[in-house]
Amino acid sequence: MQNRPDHPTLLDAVASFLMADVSPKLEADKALQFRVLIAANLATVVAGELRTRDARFTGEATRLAALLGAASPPKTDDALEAMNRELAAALRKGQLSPELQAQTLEHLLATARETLEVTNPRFELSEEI
Amino acid sequence: MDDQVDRIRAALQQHGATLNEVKPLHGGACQENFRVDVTVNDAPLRLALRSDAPTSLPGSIKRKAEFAVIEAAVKAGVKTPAVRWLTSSLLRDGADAYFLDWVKGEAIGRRVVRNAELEAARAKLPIELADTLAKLHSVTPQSGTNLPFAPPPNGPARAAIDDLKKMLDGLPSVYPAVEFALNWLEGRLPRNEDVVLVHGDFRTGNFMVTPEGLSAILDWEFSHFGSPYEDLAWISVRDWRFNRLDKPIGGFAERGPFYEAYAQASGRPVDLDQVLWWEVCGNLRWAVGSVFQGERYLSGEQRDLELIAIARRNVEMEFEALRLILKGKL
Repeated sequence: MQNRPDHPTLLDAVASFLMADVSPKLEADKALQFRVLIAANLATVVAGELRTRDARFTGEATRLAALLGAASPPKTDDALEAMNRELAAALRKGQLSPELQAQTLEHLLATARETLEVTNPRFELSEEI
Repeated sequence: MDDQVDRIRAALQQHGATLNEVKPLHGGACQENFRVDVTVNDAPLRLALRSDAPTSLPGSIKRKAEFAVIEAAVKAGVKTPAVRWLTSSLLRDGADAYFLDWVKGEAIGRRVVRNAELEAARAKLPIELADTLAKLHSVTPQSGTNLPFAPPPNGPARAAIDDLKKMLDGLPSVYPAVEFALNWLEGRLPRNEDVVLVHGDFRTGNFMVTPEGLSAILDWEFSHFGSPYEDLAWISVRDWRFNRLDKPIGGFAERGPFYEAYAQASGRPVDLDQVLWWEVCGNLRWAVGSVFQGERYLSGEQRDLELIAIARRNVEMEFEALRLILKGKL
């Protein structure tokens, strides 16, 4: 399987082409130009998500396993999804103790932060805004 | 589009208006809007045309209901373009549309919060918006009997939570952050809620501003009978501050003057705990709403890149809801 240039690099190239080469030609059609910039941003976001995927997966998986008392962190996307379903169901039923609630809030904020650092680097992450 | 233009021309002729030009307007991810230039009694007239879209978000009302809401709002003294003619099957079979007055002004959010020529207008907005909101909220289920919807049987807060759960249960994925925040909301449901006619999407981007101040409230598609706090809090939802996080009222004002002006105009003191409740709820609504925008694209019926690009932004709104919960106050 060919892996050079890798997927994030290819997506960055698409983003750069849309921004630098296509967008300036579309001054006459602002609505289309806006959508080209959205497309470029999407490519950049996905490139960033691919590059940081393993670290973000490990962080979320480790915290989730601790929270739900699992013997070991999930290893696959499906296993992580299953654990998130378990957490969502427990929250819906209002089953968490106050201590677990605090730990859950911490986990969910950390997961959101780790995602936002990649998908929207300009997003203000401090608790006081 | 040519066929649509012919249909628009024919509809206008029934009202004695001759079509000169029709131009699609971008800016609404939800509805199809057009600028329509006509001649009536030898005089040029500019109108807007708003049609049902092929898909919409849950909670969205159709143009026919919207027409009745706008009539009620105008009657209550709300600054909003008056509606003229309701038509059926105009752009597509089964899709209602209506013509309404054209109002000048700037509605694009980032321009409303930043453009230099609107600085004096921004200073007046908290009071003008509070006044117009108080007028709208004077319409109640008792007085607005001609409106096409019923008050929520178990109160607005319960209805908001139930709607969100229903939306979540219709999605293939799960959203633990939303579930956590819903759980928090359920633990502190507001009591003794007033029920009034609410706009339902009252925020920067949905009103027009000129250098003289507020010119019109737009986009009534989420209007319903609900809590006045829905409108009071929605304007502070993080995404509607257009990166001016330091200005919690719509990205252009502090909270105090807006709430004070509303209390004075409506006779209803503003309870900050209820604002917080509805602000958390509002951020959740937009988190789930953004996921649904993606579903509209994925349904194959509306392939607009903007819709699917919004779909992964839910984490921004989730973070904001959790941040408010952690902080516990505004």
